[in-house]
Amino acid sequence: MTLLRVENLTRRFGGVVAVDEVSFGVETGEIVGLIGPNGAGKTTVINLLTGLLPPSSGQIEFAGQRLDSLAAHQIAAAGVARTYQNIRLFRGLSALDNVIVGTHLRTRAPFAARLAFVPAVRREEAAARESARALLGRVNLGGREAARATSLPYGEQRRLEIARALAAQPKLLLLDEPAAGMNPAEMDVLIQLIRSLRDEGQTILLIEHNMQVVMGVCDRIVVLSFGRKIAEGTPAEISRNKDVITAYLGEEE
Amino acid sequence: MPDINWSQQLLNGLFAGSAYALFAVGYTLIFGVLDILNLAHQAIYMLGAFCALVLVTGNVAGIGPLPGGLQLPFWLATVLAMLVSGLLGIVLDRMAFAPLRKRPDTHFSGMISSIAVALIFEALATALFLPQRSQFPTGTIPGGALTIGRGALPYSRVLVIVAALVLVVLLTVLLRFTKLGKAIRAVAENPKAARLLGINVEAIYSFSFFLSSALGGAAGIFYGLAVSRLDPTMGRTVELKGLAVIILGGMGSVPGAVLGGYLLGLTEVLSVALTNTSNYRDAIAFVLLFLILVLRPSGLLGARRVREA
Amino acid sequence: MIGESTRQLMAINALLALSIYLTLACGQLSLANAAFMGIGAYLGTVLTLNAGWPFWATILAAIIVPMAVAALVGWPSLRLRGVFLAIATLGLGEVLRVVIVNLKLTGGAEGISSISVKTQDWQLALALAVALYLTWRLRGSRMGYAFEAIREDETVARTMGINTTRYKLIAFVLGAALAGLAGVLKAHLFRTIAPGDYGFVQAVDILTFAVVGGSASFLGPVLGAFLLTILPELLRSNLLRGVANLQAGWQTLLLNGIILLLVILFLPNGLISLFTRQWRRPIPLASEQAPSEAT
Repeated sequence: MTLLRVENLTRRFGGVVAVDEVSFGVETGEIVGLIGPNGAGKTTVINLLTGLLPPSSGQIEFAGQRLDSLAAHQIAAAGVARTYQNIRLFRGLSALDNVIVGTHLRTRAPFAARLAFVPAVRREEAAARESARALLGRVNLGGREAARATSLPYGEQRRLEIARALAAQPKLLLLDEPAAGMNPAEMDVLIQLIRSLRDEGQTILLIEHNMQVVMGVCDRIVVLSFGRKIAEGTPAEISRNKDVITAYLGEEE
Repeated sequence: MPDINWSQQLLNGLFAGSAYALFAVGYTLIFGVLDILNLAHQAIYMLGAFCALVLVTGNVAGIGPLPGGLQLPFWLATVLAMLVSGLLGIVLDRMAFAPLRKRPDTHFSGMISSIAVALIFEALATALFLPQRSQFPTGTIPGGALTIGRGALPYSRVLVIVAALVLVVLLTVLLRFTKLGKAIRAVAENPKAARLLGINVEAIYSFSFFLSSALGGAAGIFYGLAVSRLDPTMGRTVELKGLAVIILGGMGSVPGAVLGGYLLGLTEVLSVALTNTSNYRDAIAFVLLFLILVLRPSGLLGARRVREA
Repeated sequence: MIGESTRQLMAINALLALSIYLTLACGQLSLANAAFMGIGAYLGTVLTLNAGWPFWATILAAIIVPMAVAALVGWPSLRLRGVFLAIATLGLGEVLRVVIVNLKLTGGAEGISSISVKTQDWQLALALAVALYLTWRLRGSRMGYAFEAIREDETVARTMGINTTRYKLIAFVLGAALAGLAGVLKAHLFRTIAPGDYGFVQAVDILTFAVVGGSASFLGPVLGAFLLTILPELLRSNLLRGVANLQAGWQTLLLNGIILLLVILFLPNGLISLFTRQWRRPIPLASEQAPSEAT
């Protein structure tokens, strides 16, 4: 079943067309990779999908809803969560608190009720705390609850960001270069994590430069170059695709 | 509609606009180069004026005459006072901003620390100079007025217009055509890249403070002369209006500050003339401010580019 | 040891400090609370003196009207980032001052004096207790977490489903309520009000409470308020014994300035950081430069 459908998505900045009539889809339960050389427009696509930028034209359809005119928080409420290329954790908060923020969409407790010490609120907050703890365990950060987010090693910070995104129980998880800057050991852990997420049925759109991760984890791959989609297919197909090779390596000798 | 003396209104508007513009260019320069709001600019504006006053009268009110009975002609006092203002600007930078530059994410801290220094400067001025109003002695500038059509503007006020124009032109020439100016603009654009190009970024920062504060001091001197009034709180109202001006013109843009200054000056004067009351004049700046923030937050001439750190 | 009026002023300043804490808690540097205080003070005074309202009704009005003004003004202004919001809120104070100065009803530039004393100590205590309770319950609540997220990284907060505009507005409006309350209580205690009391200087004073105390915890601004209220009183009693012709005014200014500078430079998390092991960052981040939101 198609969860996300992007049609002729375009975004211009002045004279530059950063994303040019890009169309692709993501089925429920699959991992789709979005790759392309630097400047291809991948992060712009993510920013368009999550509502941080309005599209110049085109449509984004998600779980039967049009997203392209919604505000960022409404898109998140529709079930889209993301991580960031350059890691944007809440630096002044602990690991656990970071994830608890992520549970915002899963809780309701109005502040007024909290002022009155309503027991339902207390239960909800405890539940949120518990699920945050569980998520930390899920990404192998079990003992790191109280650590300040920025004190964690790089690889753990990335996983924390994923935990935070998962806290909203999103229908679609957008990962923006999660493997960037990781050493091989950290990358293995990451690949395991992503695979296990998919095994649980999480739909993922993955932007990544690292081919080992992309090939090892994605069901399908969409390739962008200079803002345009130049190929789409399985990892095997993509690795043989002449246009893709050219885009990455320049003209063939 | 009341019978409006257009020549008079124009002259008044140019005077007010020049005062605002001269104050605002220093303000906006620091924002453009260092990305901070220097809320002590108004304190230096005030201190510059008092410094010139002291040099002209040869007397520090509340303490006594200057050593050696020193007393200077106005033009010399102005130049010296501008220099002193510039130096105060460097002191300000060393006290309030430079220590914070090493810290990440300190945009508010800089502003708050400039507020702190402004409080200190103002307190010292109140202690050193008599808190009641002071003014430049009559005869500092020849009396009389310039008449154009049905309007007349006292020479002291004409001086403000002339000073503003001259100083702004000099500043623009500096920024556009000199090597130093290009270095300043490079640092404003991208300090890291400027450093890689061999530009001494810290020195440029210091010089920018010097320049900005000298201009601020000049604004205080000429304005204080023109309205025959100096007091330690004279910076307060002009500061807030100055904020409106630089936002109106686009923060970081020198031509924007000039445009904004004149726009505000003329609007204020016209609205007083049309409504026949000056009661609400001071609110106009903020009405304009709100409007621009809601409609076009980057300001009239601003292209508020994200600063690459 | 501490005079009665000083204690009362401490309570009022603590209220004001908590009012700015609410906006700082979600990363907004709002300097409007002095203006809201002024609205509460003037409205309350006019209602008591001219319209003969009972005090409890005046207090209610002095809370509600600033909230309404805040909602109105906040809506367009809170889209502005960092510094620009601070400036816009300063502008509000100025507009208010001009309006007050020009209304005969409000006594023009001289203000109103000999307001009847109506505020009682229990009311001050209750007001402060309510404000403290409110801010205490904020930490750890869903809204409190949302505030912290907005403060840390507003863009990311939005992509997590947090309606940042709504929360910023709530903080702004609640802050206005506390400030208005402080205004009306103070007016009916110290008996005079003047337009100059609610402008830039007062706004900076309130900010100073929060900065010196530290805004990582709600107790910080209260601590800052207490300290900065007591210090000038101590100074006044010692200093005036000596030099007769120096005015007391500039010493307070100088003291405030020095303390503020020292805190910003050497103890940026405020005095409260000496007592807690909190490493939360207190001063609102303003990592974005553009005046207004990008979507």
